[in-house]
Amino acid sequence: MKWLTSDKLYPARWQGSANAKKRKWYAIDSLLLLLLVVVYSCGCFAYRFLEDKEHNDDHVMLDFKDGNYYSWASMGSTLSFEDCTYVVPDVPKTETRVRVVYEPLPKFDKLMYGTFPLLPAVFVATIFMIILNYRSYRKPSNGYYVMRRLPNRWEMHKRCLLLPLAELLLHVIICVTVCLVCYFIYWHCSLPGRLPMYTTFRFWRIFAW
Amino acid sequence: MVELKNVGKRYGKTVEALSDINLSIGQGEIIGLFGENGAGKTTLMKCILGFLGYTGEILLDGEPIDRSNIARLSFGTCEFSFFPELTAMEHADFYADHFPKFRKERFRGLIEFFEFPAYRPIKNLSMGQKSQIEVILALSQGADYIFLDEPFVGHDIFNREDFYKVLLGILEPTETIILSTHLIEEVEGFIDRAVMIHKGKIIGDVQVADIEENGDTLVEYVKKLYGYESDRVSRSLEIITGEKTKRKSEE
Repeated sequence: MKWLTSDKLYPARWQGSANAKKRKWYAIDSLLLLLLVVVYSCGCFAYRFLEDKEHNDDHVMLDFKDGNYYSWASMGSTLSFEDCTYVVPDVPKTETRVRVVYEPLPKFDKLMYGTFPLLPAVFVATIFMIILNYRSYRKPSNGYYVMRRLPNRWEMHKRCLLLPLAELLLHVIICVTVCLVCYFIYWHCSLPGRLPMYTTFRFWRIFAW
Repeated sequence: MVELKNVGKRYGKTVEALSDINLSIGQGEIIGLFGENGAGKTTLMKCILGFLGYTGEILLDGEPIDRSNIARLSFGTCEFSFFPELTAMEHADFYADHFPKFRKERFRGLIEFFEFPAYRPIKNLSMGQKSQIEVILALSQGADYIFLDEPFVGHDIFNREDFYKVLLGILEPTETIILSTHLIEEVEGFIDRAVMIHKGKIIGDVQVADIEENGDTLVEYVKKLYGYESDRVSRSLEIITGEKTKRKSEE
């Protein structure tokens, strides 16, 4: 934790012993935010994944004694993946009873929709913070004149860019990792027959507000 | 040696801040840079330090000024270039980390001399103290060429006089000071050379000893050079008071 609050990583507005507390709280708040992201997204996924939804009344669902649900469909038709997980084979038109195992799970991106609401805000906050960091070398004093004279040309950019970009990158990595773990659970841990067909993965929906 | 060859600087399309500046600054000199407000003194310094773009050439010992030799130049400005959140000692640590030749002993000595509060953030200090730390850091960086742009803003007269004496005492033979100030009478006693700028051009570059040999003072020399009309104030007052009298009689 000491290296994270080191004076040498921070821009002019947070340098010095007078700002040691600010740096410490910034580091703690950042870590707490990451933890919150993980807990919230995993919690949302877990809730939706384990939710025992009632069956859709739009279809004729009959509760047979064997504990399974069935729907009627014309032969030759394909039930949409929203209705069941089985495709009726192409035979002459007669009705047949199609076994619907369970209410199918939503597609993964729909399941994860809105579980990372903070990521766009973190992106905007990063830009804002970078602007403030560079500005701190111009106001209230022109520390910029010292930074421009340093033999190390990257010192000012390091102090202004490193931490905000590292935080953003960490958020993205954590979001992607949580997504991958949830996807793994989704594919391997869901009950037989619950996975929807044609799972086009529109990953960007996951990060929608 | 710092050499300026045909250096020019234009702000926008119309404002020519510097025009065809040719100047050589040798090691060990104490140079006073004088000029009226807006003459181009600060612009000249900023061009040398690389803060502003310019036309022409500026060389340090024959090489262009870049990050490899920029540490040989230091800068103290009335615009303030310190870090407000840091204390004086934290500034020393920062400078020591980044400028290999930072003179910690000189820094401590100057802090003691000015009785400077070394452990308070600079933002909480007075204007005079802020300009003191600015000068102390410029002198302690370990640079060969020290540019001071109106460094005595906010300094009281006693502080200034003591500072001139200390400056002469601490400077090494290889250290060069380029001092921009309006306090010509005060600095004429210790500078070696005076460079005068007027509307972006150098109009005078003389050794102070040569002026004194001619029985003149630097102030008088500068006045003559700038064509200063000593009666312009009385003429203006006549116009101003004449207008007042006329208005009163009309009323």
